[in-house]
Amino acid sequence: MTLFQISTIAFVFLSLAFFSYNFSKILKTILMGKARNRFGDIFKRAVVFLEQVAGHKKLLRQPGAGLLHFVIFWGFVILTLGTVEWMFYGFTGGISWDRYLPEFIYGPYSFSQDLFNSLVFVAIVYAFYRRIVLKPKRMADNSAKSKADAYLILSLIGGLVLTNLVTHAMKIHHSPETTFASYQPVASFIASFFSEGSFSDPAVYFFWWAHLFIVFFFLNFLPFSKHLHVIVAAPNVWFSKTEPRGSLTTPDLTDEKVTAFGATQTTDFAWKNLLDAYACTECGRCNEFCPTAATGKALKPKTLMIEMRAAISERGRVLQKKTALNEAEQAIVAQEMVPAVFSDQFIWDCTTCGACVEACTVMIDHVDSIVEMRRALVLNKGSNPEEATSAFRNWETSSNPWGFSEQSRQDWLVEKGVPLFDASQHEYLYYIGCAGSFDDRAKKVVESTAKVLNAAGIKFGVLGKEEKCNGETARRLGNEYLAQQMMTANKDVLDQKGAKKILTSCPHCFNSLKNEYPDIGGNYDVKHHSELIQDLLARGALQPKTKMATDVTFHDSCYIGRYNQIYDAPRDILSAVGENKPIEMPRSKEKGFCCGAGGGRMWLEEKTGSRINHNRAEEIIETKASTVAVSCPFCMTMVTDGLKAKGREDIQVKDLAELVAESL
Amino acid sequence: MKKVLIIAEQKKGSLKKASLELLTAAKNDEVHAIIFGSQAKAAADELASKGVKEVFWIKDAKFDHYHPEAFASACEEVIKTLKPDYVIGTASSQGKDLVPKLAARFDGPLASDCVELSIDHAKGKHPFFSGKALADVAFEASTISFATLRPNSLAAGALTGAGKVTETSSNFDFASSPIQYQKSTEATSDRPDLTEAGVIVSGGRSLKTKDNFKILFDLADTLGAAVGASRAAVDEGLAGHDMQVGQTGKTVNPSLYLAFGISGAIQHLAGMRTSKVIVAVNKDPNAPLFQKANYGIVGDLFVLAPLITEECKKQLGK
Repeated sequence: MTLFQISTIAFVFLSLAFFSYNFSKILKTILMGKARNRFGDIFKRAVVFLEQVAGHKKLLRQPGAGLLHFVIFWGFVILTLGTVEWMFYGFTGGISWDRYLPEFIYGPYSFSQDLFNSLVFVAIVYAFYRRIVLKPKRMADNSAKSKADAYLILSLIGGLVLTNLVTHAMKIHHSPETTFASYQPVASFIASFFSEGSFSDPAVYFFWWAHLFIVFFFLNFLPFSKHLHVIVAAPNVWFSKTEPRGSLTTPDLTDEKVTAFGATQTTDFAWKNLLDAYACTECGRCNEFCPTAATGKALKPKTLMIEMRAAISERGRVLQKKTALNEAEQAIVAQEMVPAVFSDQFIWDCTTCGACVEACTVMIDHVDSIVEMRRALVLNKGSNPEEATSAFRNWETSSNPWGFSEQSRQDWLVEKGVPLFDASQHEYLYYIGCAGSFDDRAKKVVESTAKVLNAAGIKFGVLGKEEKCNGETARRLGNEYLAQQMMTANKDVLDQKGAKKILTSCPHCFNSLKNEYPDIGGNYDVKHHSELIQDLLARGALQPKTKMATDVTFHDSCYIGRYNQIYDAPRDILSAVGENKPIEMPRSKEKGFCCGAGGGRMWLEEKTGSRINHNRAEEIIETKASTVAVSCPFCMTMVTDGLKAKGREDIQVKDLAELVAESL
Repeated sequence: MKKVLIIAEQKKGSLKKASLELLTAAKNDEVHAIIFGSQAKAAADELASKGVKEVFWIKDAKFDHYHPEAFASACEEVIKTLKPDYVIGTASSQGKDLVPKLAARFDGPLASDCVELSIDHAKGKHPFFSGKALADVAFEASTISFATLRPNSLAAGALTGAGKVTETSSNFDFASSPIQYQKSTEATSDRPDLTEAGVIVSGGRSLKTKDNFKILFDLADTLGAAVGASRAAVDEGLAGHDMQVGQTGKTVNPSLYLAFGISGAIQHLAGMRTSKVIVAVNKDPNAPLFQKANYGIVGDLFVLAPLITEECKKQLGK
């Protein structure tokens, strides 16, 4: 065995050992998280993996950055083959795979290496250009350390492909008659610049070693860098949520041995929440459509992940220590996420709109982590914003957030002659929700929906006094006790009445009944009125007589849109009842901008930053539409208030059902 | 005729009106009173002049500030010698703390936070679920019974005849008590607190500027009312958040709620719908608040508010 072989083997072995040591510490930290089953649904996982990892579906939404990443990603995959050959060459003391492989395999393989070395090099140059000249806004707020980290990684990748190309070029220069030169046009091109005569052995070995050294320096740098995402992003996508996007976990509250809930400390999160934090590479796509980041509030989803990772790593390191802990380390062990890592404001800012989750290319679930922290605050400490307490109390005593008498729920509707649900006579149970039961503005939407249903000959009934709040908002405010109490009570009533098909006008009722009730054993066919009306129009069961002549724009509800991917139904409805198609706002559909009321924020004061609904109102005003259509009672309130505040009360805010009812 | 001990309260030497309401609750009975504080002479005399048979005045300056254990101990001593049939107090923050403590010590029944109370008939009314329902409560025969009466529930009363004031002391050992008085700070505003006010004047976004709220303050000062605001007005910076009435602000329960330029969105109703009488003033005849109001005026608040102030001044002789 030559010295060359021995040194290669020793180098590779030591590098891998050092990497394994550091990476295993991170793995151990991640596995300190609580159990969560993310191992089933192999087929669904494979599809998401192919789409997002192999296909870069979300990344390519931003074509420039997306393509750049696509090239570097696939370059990595393909060039890794070359790296294996590189090591093989060292281990064997100079044998390349061409000795074993026929030309029709080794030739194209050589070409792939040459091609991707070059493409990656171009991508790296473009990446530098983007960072230095174009300066993408979403990364502008990254820390100096994070920026230095990025430049180092880019330089390393550039170094990798350059040393690779130069080494190949030297080989071609030494033996230009080799068959494979023609498969390596770029390396050959570089070789054409070399002057006559051969390189000394040290020169060749210098580049060969430089390449191998960069490969393993890169690998060993990853555990200390945000670029650990190179390793954990793909698994993070694989283990992402396959349950409906709008469903939160349902902790078992009946087990009396469990006395704490949610995430008080880093190790209270599920392992997947911890993996999320390591998968983040601080690209900042999450901040772009985040309503709180856009209005200058404490919460920014990127910061959430960066700070979580810092806290998780630090506490994980201390928890793994086998020696006695000093005072500072003991403080870290005792550290609670709130207020040590995040302020209360930070955690309560979130509207759970899901814009960050939608934007994240590595499928991080920010909302899940936020709700876990809220649960810990509310269930273990009784700590929540003051205003939430009165909403909680009202839900407890009256099953609606305003505290109106439970006995008067839907009185107005029953007085108008809407029947109570009877499974033998009615196809649909129209689940009205708290807003439709008590809020005068939302009542008008319910009336319009009823009118539309009657026009289409749909038989439906309501629950009247027996309906309860569905628990959605209490749940997103972290009050899981209260939420499960209301959910169970509601489910019992629904089951007892024999409800099969449920219609809702409120996206929050819709999402909860459809996606969260199955967890407590409530399985129904749930439709939002936008879906049903779209269907009725398409089937011709509804015939609009008049068409709206005015321009209308549509404000997507987060829980209809992003959480349930219903984007077309509202637009189809508006096209059917209007002379023109709706005007799209810049932030619509997947990129829809929250009204500010989600996640229980409807019941809290918005005291910091500018107002989310004002921000949205400005965008609505810019469309010059004279009507804005909504599909949610809370959007209705927020958008109306936002427009009022901007002095544009002339812009009408209408629910889809109202516009349809007007056209009949 | 029953023997009743009322726990009277004074502020800066003058008797609280709520204590006189207790006399109405016990108008046909033999009433005794206990009052605390070195400044309470005038208040004690007033009670005696209004027909309280004997006023026990705990004059010790240590009783100038409420101390849960000391007050309970002093009351206990008086009750033990007086042996009243009833002990009644105001459902103030002091009364809500003190009277239940006494009821426990004497193992007697307690009717708390009554809005109606008659010792003669041995019954009262007690609201629950934030005033959504009223319970009729009756006292069963007992050696001693206790009750607290919510302020502004009955008219101030007076009994016939005159009584005497007896200075007494208590042997409570302040030094060994785990509760030590530190200091008290007073709210700066002399307008009543929103959550306790009997009358509230409230304004919405239509007031347009912070200065315009002055017309509501004028009216409030005429009526001795507190001033509230809608969320929209607070958001616009026309009023402070401490003035906000509604879902995310204060929940109020006045006898009279005057709303100027407030449309009556559900968030606002959630905070003031239990007001006894609601008056809405709004330019927009379709404002939802008109549906909930007992009285409504469709018109310009900038014209109407000063007119109402002027008329109130005339009527009240101010």
